[in-house]
Amino acid sequence: MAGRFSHFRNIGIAVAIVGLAFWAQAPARAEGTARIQQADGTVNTYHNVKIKIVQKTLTMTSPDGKGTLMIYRAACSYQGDILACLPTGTTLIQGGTVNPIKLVSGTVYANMTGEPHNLAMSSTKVPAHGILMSLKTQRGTYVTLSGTLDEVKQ
Amino acid sequence: MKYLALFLALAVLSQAPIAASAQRGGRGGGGGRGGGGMRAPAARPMPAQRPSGGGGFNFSQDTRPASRPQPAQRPSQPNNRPNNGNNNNNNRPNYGNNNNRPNNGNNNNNNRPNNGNNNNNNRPNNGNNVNSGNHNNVNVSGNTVNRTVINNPVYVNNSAWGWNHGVAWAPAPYYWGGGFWGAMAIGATSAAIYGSIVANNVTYTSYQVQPSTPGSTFLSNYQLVQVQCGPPNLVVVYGPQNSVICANPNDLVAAGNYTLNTDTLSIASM
Repeated sequence: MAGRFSHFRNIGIAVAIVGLAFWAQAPARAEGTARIQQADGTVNTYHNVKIKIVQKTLTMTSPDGKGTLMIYRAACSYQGDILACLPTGTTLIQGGTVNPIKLVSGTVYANMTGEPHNLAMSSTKVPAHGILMSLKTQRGTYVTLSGTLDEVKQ
Repeated sequence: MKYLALFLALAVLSQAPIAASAQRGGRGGGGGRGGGGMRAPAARPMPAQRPSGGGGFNFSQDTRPASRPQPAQRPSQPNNRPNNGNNNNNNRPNYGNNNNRPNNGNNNNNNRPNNGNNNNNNRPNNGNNVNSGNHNNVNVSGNTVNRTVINNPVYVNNSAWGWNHGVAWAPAPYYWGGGFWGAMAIGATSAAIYGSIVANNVTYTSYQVQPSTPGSTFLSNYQLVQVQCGPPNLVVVYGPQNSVICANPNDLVAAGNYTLNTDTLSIASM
């Protein structure tokens, strides 16, 4: 009986080791979903978008890592626990070039806390470290993004 | 041997979700290595509108050159404001985000909206002005100028951006008041008009302050209730980027004209 219990314990340890090994190999989460609708009706949806805030700059990077939309300037104020920002400076870094994207309007909601919070006067809940974003560019492109932050560096 | 089989089965099972995840990732190379290409369901063909330039986001409309050249006959200095008197350029209390309005002075003000934090738009200025900060009774060339600063009654330590969890606020272009009073796009807002103020033949339209904005926080802190601009004996607050709002006076704020310091969310009489 004791020997059988020992076998089960060994199996448990082995499974735990295997699980740890896979956990260690897993890539950083990139669960953002971006939707880009252009003025001509073209719509692209991107899953597994990586979202970061580094040095007060919000970036969303395409799943293939080849394109990054960067919001480097915004007017931000807290609405309760949610940081609400009106982006003003946006740049697309892609294909070896840097292109400023002129915005008409847009809002970014960021929940920088570890708890989900509702948007002000809304039933919409932003998850912990969640991002909700909607932009309209001068060329009539709509960009929406939802997801959680993969990285935050001050 | 039985246990070894069980172990192997568990190991295989534990791989299954990751493999499935890699499948969902399209041609990503599997195993969590985010390989090339936009991720799409493996069974579906690639969408026709995918960017052809080798991946990334499709912003083709926004990154192509403008179709029309800039008009050559455009005036070189389109934003000169009226100036009818002597003027120092440091006209208003300047706490970082300063908004200067038209001056009655001899002054070459190339006051153009900046996209940074410093927006030098000149405000009404009919005499000697002083950049007083938090000082009262400043003597300038023999003229005593009274500046009464009413510190924010809620954020009493008067620290910069204390009202915003320490996050600096800067005005956003394209929005009335830089977005301080709400995300109201200039010229396209559907927000209710709350009267207007005329100063030096310039009309400043006021709009309804939106809830959950820095502006509403300011009003709440001073227990002010916004009213239509126009009637006399109101609290008139000049905010960021040529914005103005009006409120009824109360025990904290007497009727008069005030400038708003967005750093500390405090006001100073003009």
